[in-house]
This record gives sequence, structure tokens and C-alpha cells, in this order.
Amino acid sequence: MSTAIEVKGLHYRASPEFAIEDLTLTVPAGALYGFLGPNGCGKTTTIRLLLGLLRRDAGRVRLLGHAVPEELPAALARTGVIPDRPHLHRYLTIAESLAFHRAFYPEWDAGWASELLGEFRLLPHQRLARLSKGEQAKLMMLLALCQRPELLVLDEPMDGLDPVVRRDVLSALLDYVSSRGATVFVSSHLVHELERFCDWIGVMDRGRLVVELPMGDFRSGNKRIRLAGAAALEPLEAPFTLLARERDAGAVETWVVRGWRPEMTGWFERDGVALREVVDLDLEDGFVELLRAFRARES
Amino acid sequence: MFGNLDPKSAVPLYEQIAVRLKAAVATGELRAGDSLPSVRQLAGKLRINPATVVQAYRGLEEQGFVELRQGAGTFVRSVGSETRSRERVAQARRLARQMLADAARFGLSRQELREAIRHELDGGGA
Amino acid sequence: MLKAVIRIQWKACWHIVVALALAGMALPIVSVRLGWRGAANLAFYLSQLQLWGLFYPGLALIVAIALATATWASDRRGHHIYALLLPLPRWRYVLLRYLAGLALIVPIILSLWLGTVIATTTLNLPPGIRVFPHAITLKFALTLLVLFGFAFAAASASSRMLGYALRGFGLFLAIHIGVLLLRPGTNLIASLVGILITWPGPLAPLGGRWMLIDV
Repeated sequence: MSTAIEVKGLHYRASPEFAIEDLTLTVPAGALYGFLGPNGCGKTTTIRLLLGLLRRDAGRVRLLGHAVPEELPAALARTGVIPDRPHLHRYLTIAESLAFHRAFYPEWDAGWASELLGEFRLLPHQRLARLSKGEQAKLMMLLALCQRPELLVLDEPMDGLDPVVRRDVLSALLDYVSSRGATVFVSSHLVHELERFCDWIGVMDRGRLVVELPMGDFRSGNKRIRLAGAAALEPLEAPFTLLARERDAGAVETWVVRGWRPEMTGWFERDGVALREVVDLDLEDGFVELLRAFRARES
Repeated sequence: MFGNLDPKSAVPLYEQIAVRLKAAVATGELRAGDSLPSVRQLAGKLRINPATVVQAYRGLEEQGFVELRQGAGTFVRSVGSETRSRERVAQARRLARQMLADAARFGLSRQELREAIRHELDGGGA
Repeated sequence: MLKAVIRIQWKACWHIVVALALAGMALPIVSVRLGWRGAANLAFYLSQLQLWGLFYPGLALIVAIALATATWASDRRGHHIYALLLPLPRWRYVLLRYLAGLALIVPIILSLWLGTVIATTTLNLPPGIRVFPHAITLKFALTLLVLFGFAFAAASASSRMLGYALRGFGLFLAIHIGVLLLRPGTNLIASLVGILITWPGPLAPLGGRWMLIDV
């Protein structure tokens, strides 16, 4: 099987003002897939639809080859989840919570669980209601990982955590992924969280998919180029997509382009235009420009 | 050794890792027979994609800096003094290239740059 | 899995279980002891006991509501997300929760039974008077089973389902009032209750007399 998550033509009307429309996602098996989008763009709704927590209006969803929601239990048995807010039983202690959780997952890795408890500095007799936000996040990651899933669906797992906790949680995740080769679907509105380790990204805005592609393509294809004497240049027949255009000082302009390849420098070789510089856009800038262009096109 | 990896840089992460390891070999910080951290350890520690580490290690293996021993891990190979000095030269050139690129961005002339370097080499000061 | 569910449910409900088990043990003992003035006032004593008998279904109702509410409280607080993400069909999770609830009811029934046995064996009754510790415990257990079923269903129902149920009940009330106005003397509620509490109605165990001691 080569596709871990398959979403086709998904529709869901959440309210009169907001809907997921014609969403199609393909998460290859083994990918570390970053699901990006501004707050309120529909990431959490999409994740809930994926996990069968909401009932879609149209379209189809398959998790690890299992149809959702028809074969949901089989899919969930192989999927570790961190939802958007704490969901565990708050009156239990950490030890009790672990004991409960493992009863449902035959693959449970008890050895690693106790190792991680130590690494995360979590005390077994602590009650969940007393845990700090960071401790809760660590516990949720521990539970999701120690059930040894083939797929991890993580909804903003690092949101609002301090850098130390963030590091602990991410290290454990990547440790697991390298030893197990699991697929990770992780959402975030913070680009820099994902750019270190994701190899695929999907960007969502206003209930729709903006783009989905391998991280390498996203990075190498997005450039900021500086041009002199290009004021009269119309990029209509350009071999790349112009996302934004800004006038700098004097006759110099900055273009933000997508789909750039090195051989395209030739396109600028015309009267009076000088290509000053081609710089890689980092993920954050690329993301912002992409959203800006998407919204301009929408409205 | 791996401090300050920069995911925003135009230089891909795997190359940044490879460059640092090569520098460590060139300066003698890593010696023949030393083992590199496992893919799992390094990916977890640096919070990067395991595939990135694998790519870096594979590149180093192709260039003869390390060898992958099945099941045992990745080890530094003995590298001749010639290769070491070639790597040092490559390092120095990389730095110089970076400096030139930055200088071009700021619109500095080569002459200005040369003088600045001489000044710093002579002990700096205002 | 059932063991795990029982364990966390015990942790959530143990104080309720212990308190109500004690109440269950105390009820028969207190009821039997309180009015006992010897064999002379037997008729009055039995009529008093009959009043005490009302406490049995009352206790069953309290146990049912308290346990059902406590069973679902934590899931409800988390919007059932944890339960919905567990790798088992929803009906199985509900069944596990229900069975765990039944498991927690057992100690209450046992302790009530112990109470009835203690109450009846420590009393020096005149000949001709009979005691029913096992029968009343069985009646209590059946009543509790039925009431817990209802309370559990209500507590586990989504707010949408509860809405439907409430609307259905409202509709029934409206019809009842309408019928009452058009044909005075026809009491729909009375007949409905009658159907429910006489065999084979689901509330049948509630009806009849709750006598631990009788002639």
C-alpha cells in the first residue's frame, strides 16, 4: 500500500459561513506530511472528518486503506492521534491512564513507555487534572507513540508549548519515525515548526486546498528575484507563476515566483532588464506569498 | 558539532550535516574508526527527517569519508592527509564564496572586501 | 478491555458505590429496628414497614441515576473524543461501559442483601410472621437493573437524542391534555403508568409491595 491517507472530493458544511469544499489530499505512506494553514482555515475540521469524528456531506476518505467511517475501528487500531485539545480522563493518574490506554492496543510498547516517562519527567502518580499544558502534551505524545501506530495524526501537537517541551515531544516523534518508518500527518499554523522535518506539505485556506507537494519542490521552486529595469515587463507568458511583485528603491523590483527553474534566467535576457539576484524563499515566506496569491485569486 | 543548523538556508539540511562532518574529519575532531550517531539518534536529537540523515550519510559514504557497516552503524574511515587538506581548502573556499555573495548583495566592491579581510587578518581594531 | 473499563469506572464512582452500599445495608436494618415494640403492636408495625418499603425503589432510583451520571461524566467533559478514537465500534464501547456499571452495582446489591439477612435474623419475631430477605433483594436487583438501563441510556444519549426524547414526551403531554379536555375521565398518563408497571411492562419490578416482613 502506498497511500496512508486518501481524501477525495470531501465536502462538509460546518456552518452557513464555513465549509470544507472539494478537498482532495493524498498522503504517501512513510511521508512526514505537514498540513499547513492559518487559524480557522479548516485544518481541525478536516482532521475530525478524517478520523470519523464528524460526518461528511460528500466525498470519500481512506485511512491506511480502510474506508472511513465504515471500517473506522480497523483504521484507528493502527493510528495514533493527538487531537486539538486535551481529551484524556482528567481524574486518572498518569499510571492509570497508561494502563487504560494499553488495554486497547495489543502492540503497546511498555518498555519504551516507562523510558519516555523518565525522559519527559512525568511522574506516574500525578493526576492528569494537575498536569501543565506541556506535561499534557508530552503524555498525549507518549500514548500515541507507545501504541506503535503505522500512522500518526497530530493536530497542532506543539501549539503553545515552550521550546524545551517542543524539543522533547518532537525528538520522541522523530525517534519513533526513524525506527518504525511510520507516516506522520501533522497540522500547524506555524511554518517553522514543520520545515525542519516534513518532506511533504499541504496548504489549506478557507476550507480549500491551496497546494500539495513534496517539500523539496516547494522550497526549490519558490524564489525571490530582484530585477532592474523590469517596470514595463508583463509576466503573462512567463514560464513561472508570479505570486507577488513589489517595487524597491529606484528601478529595482522584487518578484516572488513559483515554479522556478535555473534555466529560466534566459527569459529575462531582453532589453534593459538585469537579473540581479535569485534567492530561495524560506518556507515561511513562501507560505505567506502563496496564501496571498490564493486569496487574491479567490476574491 | 551540529549546532545552528539552519532549515531556512538555501543549502539543504543534508548538505549542512555532511559539511560539518567533513569539517570534523578534516580538523581531526573525528578520527578513523569513530562511530557516527545512528540515524534514529541524530534525527531525534536534531528534530529532522530521518531521510535527511540517511541522505547525508550516504553522500559521505560515496565520497569515502565514512563506511556503513550492516547492523553496526556508520564509521569514519581513515582519510589520507591529502584528502584532509583538500577538504580544508574546500571549507575555506565555501566560506569565501559565502562572503562574496553577501558582499555582492550589499554592493561592496572586491577591493573594499580585500581591504577589510587584510584589516581583520592584521589584528582588527577600529 | 472490560477490566480496564471497570477499573477507571470504579475510580470515578467508588465513593458513590461505597456510600450507597452502606445505605443499602442500613436501610433494611434501620427500617426493621426502628418501629419494633414487641409483638403487641404488630399491625401498626407492619403498616409502618410498608411505608419504609418505598425507600427501596427510591434507593434504586438514586443508585441508577448517580452511577449512570458518574459513568459518563468524564467522557462527556472530553466531548467523547477519547472514546471515539479508541479502536472499537461505538456500540462495543457503550456495552463495556454498561457492563462495568453493572459490575459496580453488584456490591450495592450484595450489601443490601447482607442488610436484609442481618435485619431479619437478629429480630425475635412471633410465630406466623414471615421474612423475605432474598425476595426483596431480588426485587431490588431487578428494579435497579431496569432503572439503571434507563438512566444509562439517558446519560449516554447525545443532546440530539435527548432533544428527540423530550419533544416526544412533550407531544405525549399535549395529547394527554387534549384528550383530557375532550373526554374527561380518560387519563392517558394513568393508563401508561399502569401498562409500564404491570407485568410484562418494563417497570413491573417497581410495582407491588416492598415487604421485608409480612404475615
